[in-house]
Amino acid sequence: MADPTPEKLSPIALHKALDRIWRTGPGWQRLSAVNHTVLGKRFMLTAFVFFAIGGLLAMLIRAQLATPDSAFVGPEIYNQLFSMHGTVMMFLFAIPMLEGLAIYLLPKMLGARDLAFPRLTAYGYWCYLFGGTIIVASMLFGVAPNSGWFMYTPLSSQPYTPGINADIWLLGVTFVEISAVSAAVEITVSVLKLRAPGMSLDRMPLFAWYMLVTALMMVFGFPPLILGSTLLELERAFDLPFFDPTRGGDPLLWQHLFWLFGHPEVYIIFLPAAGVLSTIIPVFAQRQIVGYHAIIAAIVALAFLSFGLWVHHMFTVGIPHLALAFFSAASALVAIPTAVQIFAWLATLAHGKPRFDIPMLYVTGFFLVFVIGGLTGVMLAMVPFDQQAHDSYFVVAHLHYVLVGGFVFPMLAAIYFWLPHITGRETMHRISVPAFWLIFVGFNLTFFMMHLTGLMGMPRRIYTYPSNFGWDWLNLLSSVGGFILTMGFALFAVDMILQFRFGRRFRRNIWKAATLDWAMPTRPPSYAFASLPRIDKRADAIDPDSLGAQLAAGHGYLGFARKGRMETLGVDMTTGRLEHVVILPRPTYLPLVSAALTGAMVLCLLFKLYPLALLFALATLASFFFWAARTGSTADEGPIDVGRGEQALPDTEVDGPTPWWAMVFTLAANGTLFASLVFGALYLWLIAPGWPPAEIASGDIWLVGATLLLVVAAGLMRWVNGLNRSGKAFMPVLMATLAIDLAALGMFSATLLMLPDPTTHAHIATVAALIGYSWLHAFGGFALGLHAVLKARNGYVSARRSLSPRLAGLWHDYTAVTGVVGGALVLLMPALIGMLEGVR
Amino acid sequence: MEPTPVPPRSMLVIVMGFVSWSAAFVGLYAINAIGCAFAWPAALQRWVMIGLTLIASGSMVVVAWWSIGHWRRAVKAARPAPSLARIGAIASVAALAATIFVFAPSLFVSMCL
Repeated sequence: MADPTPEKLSPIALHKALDRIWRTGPGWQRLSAVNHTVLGKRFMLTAFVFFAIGGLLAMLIRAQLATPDSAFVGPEIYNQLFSMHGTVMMFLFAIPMLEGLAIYLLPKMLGARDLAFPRLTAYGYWCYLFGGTIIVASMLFGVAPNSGWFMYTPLSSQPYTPGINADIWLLGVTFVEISAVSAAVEITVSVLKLRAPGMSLDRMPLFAWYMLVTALMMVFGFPPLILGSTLLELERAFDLPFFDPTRGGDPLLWQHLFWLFGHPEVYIIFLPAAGVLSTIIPVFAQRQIVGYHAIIAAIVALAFLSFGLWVHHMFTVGIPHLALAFFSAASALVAIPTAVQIFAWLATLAHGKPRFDIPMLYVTGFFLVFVIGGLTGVMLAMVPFDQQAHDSYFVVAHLHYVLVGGFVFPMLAAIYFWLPHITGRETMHRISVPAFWLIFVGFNLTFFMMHLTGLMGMPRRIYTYPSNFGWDWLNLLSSVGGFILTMGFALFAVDMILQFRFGRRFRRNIWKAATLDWAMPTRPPSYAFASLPRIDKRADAIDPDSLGAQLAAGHGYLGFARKGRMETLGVDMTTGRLEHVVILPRPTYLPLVSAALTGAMVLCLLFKLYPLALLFALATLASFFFWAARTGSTADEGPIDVGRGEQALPDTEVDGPTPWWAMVFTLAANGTLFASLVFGALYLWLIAPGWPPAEIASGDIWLVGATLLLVVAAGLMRWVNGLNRSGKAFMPVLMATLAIDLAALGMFSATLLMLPDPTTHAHIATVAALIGYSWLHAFGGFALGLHAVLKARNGYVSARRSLSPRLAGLWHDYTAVTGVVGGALVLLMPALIGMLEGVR
Repeated sequence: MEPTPVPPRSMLVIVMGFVSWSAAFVGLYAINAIGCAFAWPAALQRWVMIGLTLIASGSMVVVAWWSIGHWRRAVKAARPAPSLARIGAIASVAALAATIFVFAPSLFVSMCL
């Protein structure tokens, strides 16, 4: 029977009751924070610290290049400076900054109390902090990465970069990428499932659309880099020659894998910034955005096209002509959906009644800087021009115009726009305006000159230059501009501190915005909304002032504190129909512990302490078991009251709960990694020198047997879930599945042991990687099956509460499919290699 | 009134056009690479690439046609979230344009280095 409706409280009593449940404790308890407001701020603040570090490195670079034949730093230090500047800005500032903004804002814009997986947010933050610290700390010991931020092989391979410099990049960045992918899964599921009832997809504010598309791009865009980094680290640590052309590898495989990530990355950075612009511009234009549907179609087009142009970073490496034409056309074409957005913003301003304030200064700066960057991008999309300007300072100028114009300026606008939301205080204009002009003038002085030095032939990444090329005065001006830019950012930082300390307090909705994030007190309370709204029109056209007062009085959904539980609502993905109640986990130190164990594993890998690394990997896995130990419910609750006279089932008792969707998107990311691995194996076969290999790894009966066992295990898991659905005993079949998983592990191990030496040729190394992939997934299937056993034993599984065995089933299905594809490829390799005879 | 639940796959209409474009892109790029690596005769390569471009373009015409029809039907039947169908139609037409623009070089650009 459903619980009685919880007692109705006065607004003050409701605030106190909810705050007791949702708040993060003081002192050391801050380390247990899982709240999106707290973690969003931490992400952004940490990103700004890294931004300052990256900026200081840029200053050192400009100091070195200010004059010809400079002896300020030597070539080795200079290599570390530019490598670290790029790495810090791309991986430790841009991505985490956009994640932080999304984590802080999304639940508030969507009418939810938090994101779908608060502990995952916390784990992602700690992974980011630890990974970033490892990378930055390496500078103190003089062992920072020094092969450039895209780490081209063979320069970054062991013979040419001995020591741990490159390992720090590979392991540290992969560590940070774990954080990014986890954030992407979390954002995707949160946007799709955790919205206010009534907020159908076509009522979502544009910022949520942008973040949904960005997060999906991260889900599909980051795995190729994770794979590339793993393969390169395997080559450096164990001599598996994936990128060594003397043993059947190919350095260009690294470039493909890197830019498969790297070009979408530019749009991953730009799209959230464009989401900010699509939110801010209507507020200051005092009208709704023009072209809502066209903008959504444009960002979908942009997302796909951005994956089809990675080779424009490789126009000079020797790609077939026709393929060059495809990539060139796609690179030029991507300007069109970008332009659709720019014209929509301009039309919004033209049809509105624009008013001025500090965020609009930065929006104007964005228009000017980004359009120049976009136009030089179209120039570089043309193959003949790119071949002339490749790896010159023209490219450096272009990428800074795109990234600073397309990300930093909108982010500064965002900070001025939402800082009052965070602090509850108004902006102080006195310093803001000169800070903008210093940043704008300094930026253009620094980087416009680089177009010219580039066209005059100055290559990027040289630590000094002679004075007879005519580059001297342009470089000096660039350096002067760089220091003006730094003064601007210093003034910006002072402005922020002053606003925190002296800004005038205000009540609510300072900008007269029309989105839900302003329908709450500012600073926002720990629970975001005292009650959740019902949305009956587009969520960027609401009246936050009246709605906010109603919600604070508890007149919306869940306007009560029930059993000390952190509750929010889940909806049907498309229509926004109320579906279920999501019960979120309380603050816990577990994410910190798991991230510390993961960090320890990374450090052990870095110092080649492999047995210890394995121990920490298992400890990390064990810690995840603790995460899940008490989630869920030990009894079927049935529909529960959610306020406004409606009822809904708890998350644990519905078909599509949030963890299910998280697993679906995690497997989508995993599938992209697997597809990249298959691409790598086929690419080496088709393109790499040194083929056919002297010795062929064909796989054998053990591989066939192991693959069949994966299929059997997947079938058994389906049986388990069928039995559970019909309320029958499933434990014996589940135990049999675990036994089959173990048998598959044993057979895969035997196959690996019987392979020829994988260090002799990339063919054998890729076969080992494919079999290793299936081994790991069979192990994952065993672990998830074991988890289902434990949950069932402790009473968390019933016909309705079926999440654990269903997650194990989904994993087993995936493992079987990838196992069959990988196994078939291994078995087909001898035939494929045979086709090379007479051709190569 | 509460809208009827819509299965998540209904969202695929938004990405259908560009998923098809991506598949065509990967296919054409791979066939071009294989043709060059195995030194297929130039005429054979040309006709294979033209054939694939025509198949891709024809498929995209079908996808765009269906998407526009889907949008019209959604509006007429007042189905939930007709805007998604509208966005899907715009995106599919854009994907068709992208197909023609990006793969047109198959008709005239030299195949290999």
